[in-house]
Amino acid sequence: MKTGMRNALTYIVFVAPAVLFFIAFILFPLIRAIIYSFQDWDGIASQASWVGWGNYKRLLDDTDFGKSLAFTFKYVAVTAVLFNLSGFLLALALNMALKSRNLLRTGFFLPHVVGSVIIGFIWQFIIVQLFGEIGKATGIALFQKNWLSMPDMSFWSIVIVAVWHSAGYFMVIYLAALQGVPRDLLEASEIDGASRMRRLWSVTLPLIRPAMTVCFFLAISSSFKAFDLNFSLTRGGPFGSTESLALQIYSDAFVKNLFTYGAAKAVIFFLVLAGITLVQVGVMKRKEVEM
Amino acid sequence: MKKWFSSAIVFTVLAVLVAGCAGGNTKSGTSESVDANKGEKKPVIKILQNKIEITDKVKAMVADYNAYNPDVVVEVQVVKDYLTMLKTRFASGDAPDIFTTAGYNPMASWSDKLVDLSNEPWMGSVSPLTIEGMTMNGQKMGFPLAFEGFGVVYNKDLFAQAGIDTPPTTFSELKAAAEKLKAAGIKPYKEAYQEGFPLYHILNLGFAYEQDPLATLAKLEKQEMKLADLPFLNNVFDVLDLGMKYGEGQESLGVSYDSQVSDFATGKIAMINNGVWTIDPITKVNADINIGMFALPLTDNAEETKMPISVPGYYVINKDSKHVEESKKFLSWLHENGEKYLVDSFKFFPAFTDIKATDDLGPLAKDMAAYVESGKGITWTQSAWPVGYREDTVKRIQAYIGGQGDREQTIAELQKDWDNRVNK
Repeated sequence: MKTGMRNALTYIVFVAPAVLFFIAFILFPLIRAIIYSFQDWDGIASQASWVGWGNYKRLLDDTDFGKSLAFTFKYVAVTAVLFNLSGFLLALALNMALKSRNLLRTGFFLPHVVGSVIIGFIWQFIIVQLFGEIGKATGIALFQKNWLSMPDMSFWSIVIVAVWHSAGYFMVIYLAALQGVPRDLLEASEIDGASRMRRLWSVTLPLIRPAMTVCFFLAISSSFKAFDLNFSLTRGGPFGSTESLALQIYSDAFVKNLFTYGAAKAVIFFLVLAGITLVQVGVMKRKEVEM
Repeated sequence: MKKWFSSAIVFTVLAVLVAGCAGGNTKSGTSESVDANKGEKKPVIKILQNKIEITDKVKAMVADYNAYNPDVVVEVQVVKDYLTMLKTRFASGDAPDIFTTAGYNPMASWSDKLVDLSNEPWMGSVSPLTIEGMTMNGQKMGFPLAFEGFGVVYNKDLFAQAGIDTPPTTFSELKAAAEKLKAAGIKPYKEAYQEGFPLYHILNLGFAYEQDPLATLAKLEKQEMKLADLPFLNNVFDVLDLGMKYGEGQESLGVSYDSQVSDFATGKIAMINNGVWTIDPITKVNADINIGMFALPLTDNAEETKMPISVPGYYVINKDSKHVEESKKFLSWLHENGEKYLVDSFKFFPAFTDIKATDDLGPLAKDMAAYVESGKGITWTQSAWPVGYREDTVKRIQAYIGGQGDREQTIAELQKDWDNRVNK
């Protein structure tokens, strides 16, 4: 067998499984969703009829969809910053020579191991019952209200819980990146008289850009797809003010029996998400520093 | 050697993948089970249903049936995310033979897949209130499992403490009762408006109080009348206001069903707008609690006060099942033994005239029975609303409770959703 042939074969063996899984579980459902979005089907009937752009036209008048889109964007903007900031600060702190750092690293990562639906239920109890008790004991007005009954506080409830849940995960990625920063560069800059902040800003940050690209990508895409916390903590309420796009698509397709309408929303969602993450990765890749 | 090795790997990997993909096409769950001893094939009837609270009891019932009927095998699966599972099973070609669905619109969505059960022996003894919801194009398609009612569940001891002797039968009496409770230092309400279902159950009253609710719905669907023309809709908002005023106010939006039920069961609140299904969670927290239930009055005419009572689920048979006759036999058997399984075991309030309710069903079912017997039951019209509308209404009423709009604006929003669902 020729080397070229053999290389091609090896290549196929290693890539084929991934490609096949990608086709079966991502590409095929995506194409189906696009087809569904041009049909009218409740998810049950034997026959689906074609409605052309009907579902998309209805989207234009759907104020709930607009609200959900606005909520999702706001949520992504806030969490993408907070996830990375908290993850990075934790990593910076736990990269220092602390005695308890292994324990602390485990502790901060631990929330990420628990499923978010369960976390939602636990925090629902904390926010509704425990915060109320704190309010009674301290007299702080902020804690005397039921947070989940107010749109603004519901939003921040989800953000707080999501940050608490994910910070450890981002911390781990940043820790790995921080440890990859060559010591000699840091020492050289120290000898040159650079301050701590200067070293962080001019040496460490440029060198961990690849980790930042990855972390921002993960934060943006996971926040866009937020579902479980909205589902278990606030149920999208009060009055739909914390209904993420993913939750709205789920409830349209499976609870309200508007399967094809949900598919149309999902297609728009896909285009928005793909567009934003492509731009994000493209822009941030360009800023990475090659060693 | 190497060449042989690499080609072997390629073929193995490809073979595994192809087999894996093809697996979906072959019938993985066959509809026949082979009896190891005789080598004969027995028909397998697959049941899929919701109500995970009674999973063990349903399995025990099926085990009994299998023991008495050695020539068939009944398999049952009780799942939580029921509708998603059901649709998935149908989509993947592994549809169950018997499954459950609610009446009216959900039944209509499934109707082209269902067997006509009009001539079954038990159909003659179903309760009249169950028929409308399961009749599609003149065919009766469901085996009603139970009756459930929505109203005010109240703590009799707390009512007595506040000096209220008889449950209120008019809206003014209800208001007075709340006032008396408050004066006696008892918290009257804690409404769980984070949940959708209490909201659409209350909204339903505005439709169900109509003389002929289904005719009214038909007019609304044809746009011959508007929601604002419903005379009782305004009273619905009075009920919501009452629950807020004597309860948690706007913060009701952050109260979940669990926290409402646990506060009620521990005697912290006197009444909840909820249904007979609360009996299990309440008695689990506090078995000795002295409770009852009355219809939520909407007007000051006690004659008009009626309880929405409906069938949450019917057993239906899949038309494409290979074992329709065996499935019918199973339902007939279940009816014959209805008292043992439906009532004594599942604790369902029977929806058949020839199956009697027992005191074991608890105080809420007992109070509901009085409404069933005196013909003071009305429809759960929310099941007959256009598909998806029931869930739409929740956000609008929550917005009203959260002070986002007044009654007129809320009704206008509700109308907009209605138009949206009717003109697709």
